Amino acid sequence: MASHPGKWWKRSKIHVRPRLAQGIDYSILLPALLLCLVGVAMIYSATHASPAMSTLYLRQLLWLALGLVGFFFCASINYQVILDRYAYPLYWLMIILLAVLLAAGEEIAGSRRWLALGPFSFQPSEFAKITTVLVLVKYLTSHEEHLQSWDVLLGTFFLAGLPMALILKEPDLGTALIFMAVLFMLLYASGVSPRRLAGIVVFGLLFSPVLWLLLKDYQRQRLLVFLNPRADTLGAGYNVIQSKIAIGSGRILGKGWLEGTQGQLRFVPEHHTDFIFSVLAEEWGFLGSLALLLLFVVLLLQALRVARLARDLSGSLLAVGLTTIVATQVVINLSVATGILPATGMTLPLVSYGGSSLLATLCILGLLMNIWSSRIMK
Amino acid sequence: MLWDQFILRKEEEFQRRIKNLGLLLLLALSVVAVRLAYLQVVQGNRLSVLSARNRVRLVPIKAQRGLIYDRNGELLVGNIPSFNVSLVPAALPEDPAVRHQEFLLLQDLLGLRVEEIKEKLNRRGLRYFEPLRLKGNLDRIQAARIEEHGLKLPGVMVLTESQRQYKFDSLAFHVLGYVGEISEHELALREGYQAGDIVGQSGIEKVYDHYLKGRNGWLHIEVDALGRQMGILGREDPWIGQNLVLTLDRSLQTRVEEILGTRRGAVVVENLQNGEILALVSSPGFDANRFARGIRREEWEKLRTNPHHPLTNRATQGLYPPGSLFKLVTLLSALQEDIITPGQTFTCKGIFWISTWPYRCWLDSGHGQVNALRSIVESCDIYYYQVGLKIKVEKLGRWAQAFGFGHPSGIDLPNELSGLVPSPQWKERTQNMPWFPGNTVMLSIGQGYLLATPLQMLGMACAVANHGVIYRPHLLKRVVTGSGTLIHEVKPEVMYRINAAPEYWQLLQQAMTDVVRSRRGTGHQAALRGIRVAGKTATAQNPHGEDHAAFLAYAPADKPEIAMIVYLENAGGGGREAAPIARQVLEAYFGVPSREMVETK
Repeated sequence: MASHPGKWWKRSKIHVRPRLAQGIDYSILLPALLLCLVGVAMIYSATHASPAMSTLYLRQLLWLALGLVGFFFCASINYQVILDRYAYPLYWLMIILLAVLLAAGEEIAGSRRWLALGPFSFQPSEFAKITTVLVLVKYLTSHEEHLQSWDVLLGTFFLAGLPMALILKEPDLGTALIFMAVLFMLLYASGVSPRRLAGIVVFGLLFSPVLWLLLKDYQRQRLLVFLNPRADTLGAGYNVIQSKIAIGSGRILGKGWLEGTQGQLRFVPEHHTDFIFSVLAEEWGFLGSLALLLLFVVLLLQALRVARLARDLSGSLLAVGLTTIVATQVVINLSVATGILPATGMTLPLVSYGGSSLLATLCILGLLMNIWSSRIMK
Repeated sequence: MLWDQFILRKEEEFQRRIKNLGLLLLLALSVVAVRLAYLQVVQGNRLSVLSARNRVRLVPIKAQRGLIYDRNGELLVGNIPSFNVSLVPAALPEDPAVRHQEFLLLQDLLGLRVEEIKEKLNRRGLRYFEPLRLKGNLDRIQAARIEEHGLKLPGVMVLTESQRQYKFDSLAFHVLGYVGEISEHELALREGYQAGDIVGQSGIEKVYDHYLKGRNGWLHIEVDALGRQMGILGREDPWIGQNLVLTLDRSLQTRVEEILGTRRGAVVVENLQNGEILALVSSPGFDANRFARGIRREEWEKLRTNPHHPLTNRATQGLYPPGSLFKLVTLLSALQEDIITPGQTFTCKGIFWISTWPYRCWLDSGHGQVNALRSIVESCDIYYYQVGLKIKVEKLGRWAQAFGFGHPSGIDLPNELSGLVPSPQWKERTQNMPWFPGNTVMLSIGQGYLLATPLQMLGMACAVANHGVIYRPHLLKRVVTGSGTLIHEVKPEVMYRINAAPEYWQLLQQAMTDVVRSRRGTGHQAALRGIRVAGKTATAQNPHGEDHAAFLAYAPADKPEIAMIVYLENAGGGGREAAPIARQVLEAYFGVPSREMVETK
């Protein structure tokens, strides 16, 4: 280990390797960067009219810079080492953080999702997603031979369920759902029979009346409002109706950048975070919206290609899990903005305003690129 | 070898499953794309309209309502500023519990029940970003208390508005009418009105609402989702309402109301040369200011169910038997149709038999030999029973209609009633019974099925004084703008022209004059010093208790100016009860000293 005294990364246990030049995957990095810049432009458009928020786009640029550092860091480390040695410690650390958050976190809009860290506040749940994927992959690869046993399945449900329960308690229904999606995709990819997975889903649905009782009032209301948005135009249904009006009024070509009225005049609430897409759809129209969809398709299909071509099973599963995190958020966010799904409060990865989300997503993409570059070392 | 194959199969299966995940992703995003095409391409135009409406809010600037003056330029109805408390629904707290707390606080401060507030918020057509008027006519203390609790009452604001003020409280209530917030129902029926508009609900306020209301102006405000003003895009100034000058004489109206006091009934004084109404009183009345301040539901219910019906305008909506007043019509028709001659006499013995049915005269001892003139002066009933048997009921009915019975008089007040001129066909149809001679007998003295409003009865006095000409009675003299420009002037309009020989008109005039002048006349209590009055009394029997007392008059008898009717519900004899009232009114109009005062001297 001491054979390369001049290179500090050679000595570290993480084995940071300067192999970016040979392995930069532009089909991940380029769409990602484009999406980030679109996001900054949209945040600027959504907030420039409001004195209190008009500098948010600069903060987003700052987070983007930080995110790129995270990206390249995650692209350079040896993910195998992380999986082997740090999966469990990181996981438990995150569980503790989430528990602390519940006890002492800052309450914003009725939920505790934020942890103040000096001048920045950050959202541990964004990173809990990554650590949970790490621990699940580690667990699945170490029980590769016994995947069909109920014991092992129960283990995965415990590992995913613990952070999920804590996040549900914040309460953040949307993020909690991602844990379920990640778990099921990982189980499917690692070879659990679809019939068994379907059985679990049916079993879960049977218990959904119990879940309904566990939901908070506002969550129930959101679900009900989803079924009939007109019933409450000012409450929870308001967001969805206004978002639909914003999107629809963009028509094919859009009103043009900074020309949208719905987003800028704040008819669309949370227009720079959860509903950033409606600002884009209003200003850039159907064509702009399709272009955005296309960028996500390129990015996510490339991420799945990483999963297929990874060096080993753990790399593949890691890629599946990480891709699922991003893909689920994209699909849910866009579905909410267009009124296909009830409002859940979820950011659009890379585009929405939000430091933690941007940093976490760029780290995920960094890890994906890491797995991509490692495939050559087979 | 076997192991390798196992690995290979596993590898193939893995690749297949990843591909499936990719397909799942593409499927989900395709759904989003289709949805986008639906919203932006198919629904694009519709949602664009919604978006534009979202941005620009039209805030009405309420136009000040026009003023109402009497004929001498005295202000009857004006406007005063007042405070109201309003609520912007969009600014209410989202949490129902917190919202309820706010309603409870409002209930304490305003005495407005939580259910009432919720009901107002649940109305259709509610605009979330515009202030909803909760309660008007706040006093300063209430307004201050609302402001004090401002932080606990998001969305609640105290606004000033223009409130209708009736200068003389209940004076001419049935003429002027009252105002109130436009109802949902009216809003759907009438064009050019907005929710929250104050509109006339009855009387002149209702009939001439189109003059009085003016036109609301608009502020085009660019707002954000919370209704916060971002800028003003434009402004259309309101047009204030036009002012009305009525034919009413305020001082006469006041005097008539004083004279009538607490009696139930109606008095109308009209210029018979042009149809201008100088005074129109229906008693009991009500203070229209209580409507302007926003009447409470309990108060409204009490008013509606009041057995004396203060909201009914007895002059135009009260249906009564004209009684002996109608003898004028019967006599004229019999003369003009050559059924009788003026000098022809009939015998009155106090009782008259039609087969086995006795019909009595009001004078038990009988009037003896009665000719046309005496039949009116002394109001002999039996004279008319015998004339009635000679005349055909259809003919009498046509004459009644020629005087305006059975049709609205055409006065500019809402919901006037037509009354009823009975006919054999009418009786067959509604009662399934044939017309009996007795019915004609009753009709000839204005009893039985015949029903008319006091205003219709007034037409008989006009016709007699004018040789058959009845002008349309009206209350509006002219319409002027705030700066005094004349918009519209009401011209006299002949409503009915009754053809009869001049000597018959003169006979009726003579008879009506003698009713008051002659010692034996039934209406001598209406006699005035210095001015000759022509009149006719009536004591109308009715199924609702005591007789109605009526007196019909015009004056001066030799040079007619005004016609008047006094109709008192259940007051007793017309000569004893109604004629003195008429005299007092005439004294007030002509400005002659009261006879009572002179006599005591």
